[in-house]
Amino acid sequence: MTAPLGAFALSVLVPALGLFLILHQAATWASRRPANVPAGILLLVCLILMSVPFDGLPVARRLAGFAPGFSLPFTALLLHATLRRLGGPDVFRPAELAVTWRFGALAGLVLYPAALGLGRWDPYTSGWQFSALFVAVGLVAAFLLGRGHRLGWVVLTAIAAWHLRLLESTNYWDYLVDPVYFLISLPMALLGLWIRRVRAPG
Amino acid sequence: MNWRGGVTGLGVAAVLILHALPWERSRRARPSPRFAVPPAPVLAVAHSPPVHREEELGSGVASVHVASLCEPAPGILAAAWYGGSREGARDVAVFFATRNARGWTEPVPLVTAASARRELGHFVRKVGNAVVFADALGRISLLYVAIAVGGWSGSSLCLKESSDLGQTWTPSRRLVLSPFFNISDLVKNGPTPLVGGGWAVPIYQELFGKFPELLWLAAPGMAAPAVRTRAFGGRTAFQPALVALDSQRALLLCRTACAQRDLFISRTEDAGVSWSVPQSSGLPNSDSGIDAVRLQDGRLLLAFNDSPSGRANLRLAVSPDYGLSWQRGPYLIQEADSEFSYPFLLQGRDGLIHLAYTWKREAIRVVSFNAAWLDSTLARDPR
Repeated sequence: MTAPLGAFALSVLVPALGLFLILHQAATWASRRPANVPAGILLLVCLILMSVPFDGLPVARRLAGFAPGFSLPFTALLLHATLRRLGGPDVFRPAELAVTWRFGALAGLVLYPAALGLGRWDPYTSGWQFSALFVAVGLVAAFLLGRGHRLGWVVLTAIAAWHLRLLESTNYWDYLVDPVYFLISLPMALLGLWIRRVRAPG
Repeated sequence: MNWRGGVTGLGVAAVLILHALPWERSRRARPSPRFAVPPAPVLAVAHSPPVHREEELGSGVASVHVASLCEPAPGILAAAWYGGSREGARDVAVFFATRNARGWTEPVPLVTAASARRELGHFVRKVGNAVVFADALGRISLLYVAIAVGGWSGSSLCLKESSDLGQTWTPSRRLVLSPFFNISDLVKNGPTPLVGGGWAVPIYQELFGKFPELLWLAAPGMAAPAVRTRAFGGRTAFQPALVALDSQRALLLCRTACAQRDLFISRTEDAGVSWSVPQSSGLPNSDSGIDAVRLQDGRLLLAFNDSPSGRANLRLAVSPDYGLSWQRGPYLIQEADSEFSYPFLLQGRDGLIHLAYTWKREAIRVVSFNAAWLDSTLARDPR
């Protein structure tokens, strides 16, 4: 097993949180009211399910075959949603949630089309060593922190994790955004912008 | 200032410092990578009689493909290829064999999907293309493709190393080279060594685009042990062979990925930082693998299928002017409706040139010849 401990832990935690949220939401929809399943027990079951070896590998590590890591902002969003269902404190305030979705959408739009071969420029290369990416993200994170925005703390965690090589990747981009986060962020960000436009005084 | 303000100030300072630290590290970094060119001509070889021999490597499986060679010690060759019931099957294994004065050893399955799963600690559905290369100390590296989902476009690259001529190997290590589920990085041809250690490995993507890239492994001046850079994007050409001309200049010779059935060439003059727009070499390519090396006498040697539409022959071509013009050389093999493909070229320290290729998907063949044999065939058929 070659994944660093942090990557291994996240590869179990993130799918477990994702499964928990799907099952909890499904139970809520099925009963047409907030699920009366004890959320803590459901979460524990999801964690165990993801950790149980199946044919020699934990289920979560099977997923890790095609998703080598999850970004820190996405992990924070899942933690936020999970804590809400457990009755715990919010990780993000409502306005911060919208910004975190927009962050994922914007980062993904900058990264993925070009990184997958659209043109000669590959932004992913800028994540291995000091580059404009570090300047831009550092300044944005400092601005957010100065405004008391919790996404700033998440980005601080991400850069600290990158220095500590907590994920399997050594590229800073992978600590900021991942494809699952982007694919959820894009519609969420667009939805948020549409709602804001509809609600804006005419 | 209240405690909340103090914490915020600390956070701002920390985030700025942590984002600036890589700048400090890059200031102290060693110079950018430079290609290490092959050693000076071996004069003794130039006057030796023509040598040409062919050997076959069987794996006891129905289908084999994508062979590679390296020379971990003088006179010793190592080879890797994949084989199984068919290309892309789940029973495919990466085979490994070595050759000494007594001949080739019995090939052994070195990596299977099950062994890769065990070593990597995550799901691997099948394995594929593998390339072996050896450093000056005789350490052998094996770079191979592992696929968790889908076909070749779902692949990622993994690395194993051996310090005892392939007797024992380190566990596999996955290289994270792509932000999109880390898929679609493949390897076919051998790397170029770098001055001061490390490698520039020609790799490629074939998911949405099909294009060549360089994988910088343990490269001086790079911030991470494995860094990927792009030569060019789009869908013009891929599956590159990297040929260094000197420390700064190199060629990428690429398989076509577009309607124009030509072998494409791109050039760098800054050790791989930037690459020219790919141009046709004037030679055909049937959407099939090629390889090229810079010989010790400075000429470039290319192995390719000389056809825009098939893999029924395998031929050599020589360029005396760094790929500006090519002289077609001998056919190594040709037979209608057959497949002879995916050549891999290596020139040994003794000057002997080794070419491994897929023979009808049934066997890996290794042709070994010297410059005298090559020159004699060029003189006989000066096209």
